[in-house]
Amino acid sequence: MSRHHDLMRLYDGELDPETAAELERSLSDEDRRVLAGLDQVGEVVRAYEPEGLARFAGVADQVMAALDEPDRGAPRRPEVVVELEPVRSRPKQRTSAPVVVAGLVLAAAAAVALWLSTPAAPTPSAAPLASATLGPAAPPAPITPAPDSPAETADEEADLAATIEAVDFGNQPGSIFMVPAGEESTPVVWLDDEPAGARMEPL
Amino acid sequence: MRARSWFLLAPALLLAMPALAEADKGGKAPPARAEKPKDPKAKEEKKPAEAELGTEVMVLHATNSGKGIDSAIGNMPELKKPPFSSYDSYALLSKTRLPLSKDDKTMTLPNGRVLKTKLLEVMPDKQHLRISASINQPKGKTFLPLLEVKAKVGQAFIVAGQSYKGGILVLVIRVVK
Repeated sequence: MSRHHDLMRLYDGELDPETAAELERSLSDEDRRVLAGLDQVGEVVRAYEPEGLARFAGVADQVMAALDEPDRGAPRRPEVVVELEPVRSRPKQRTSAPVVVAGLVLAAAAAVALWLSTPAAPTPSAAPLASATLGPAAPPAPITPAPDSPAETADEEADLAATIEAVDFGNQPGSIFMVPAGEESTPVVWLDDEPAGARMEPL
Repeated sequence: MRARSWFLLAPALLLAMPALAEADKGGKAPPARAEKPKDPKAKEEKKPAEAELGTEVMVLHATNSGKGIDSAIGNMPELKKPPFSSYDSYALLSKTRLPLSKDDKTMTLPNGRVLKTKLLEVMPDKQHLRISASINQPKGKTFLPLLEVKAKVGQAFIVAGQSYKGGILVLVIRVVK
């Protein structure tokens, strides 16, 4: 127990007579100032208590009175005036719904017709040399310069030379390039193969 | 009310116009669907074409032994261009024809590795083919796991660089009929 708490219990008369007498004998100046402060607080509370209680009691009485008289609040409810105009607007929605549905059906039909009329999109074909998967240490493959019009020149190149569509070099490095051979070019896959015994193989 | 409904119908009619225009042009059915019945015939035509196709594999040995280019190789201007020109001698070790089919066709190379070729597909123009090639090590390891090439009859591609007896192997793979 703190000293301040004991003082509060002494002030409130909650201590037994023996403890109270013992505590009163041991009161210091600071303790006496605390008790005087409690006196002042008590006076303030008592001064304002009747007014606050009266105000609270007034509110409680009003609430209880309102509960006792249920019909008293009924006239205060705002009157709701129902107009007949919203009823007139319902037929408008009913008549526009089929039109909206018809419009949607027509739009869907147009979309389906357009979809059917367009030719099937060509499957994306890998560009020559572009899809090559190089090995881990593969040097950059020398690739022919990019053409101005990719579609046309790609077709021409496809006619002039074989095209490498995919390469997996595995564990060793490699490169892809074109070697001119007269009017045509020949694609070359170059594997960097080390001589036997030159590479450390895992056991 | 009716004016409102016309406002709603107008965009729908505008959307439907292209479809009506296409119908006027006489587009009865999409071309992709019209071609479907032709598929069985196409398959029938493919079979004999595939049976005729093959790959000619020339195995060259490139060295710097000063012997020049073997006349049996024929005209190959590529061998005089870099990086092939860094070797002054090319000897024809073998010339093998492998039939092209959907099954793997193999041949053993001079270094013991195995070259495997396979026909992936005949392109719709029936001139170009997609073929795959791979080279496997004798112990089952894959040296060149995958190579896919699109070529037509007469076109070639080269797989080079495998070390062999002081030089390298140059595989010239050509699609032939």
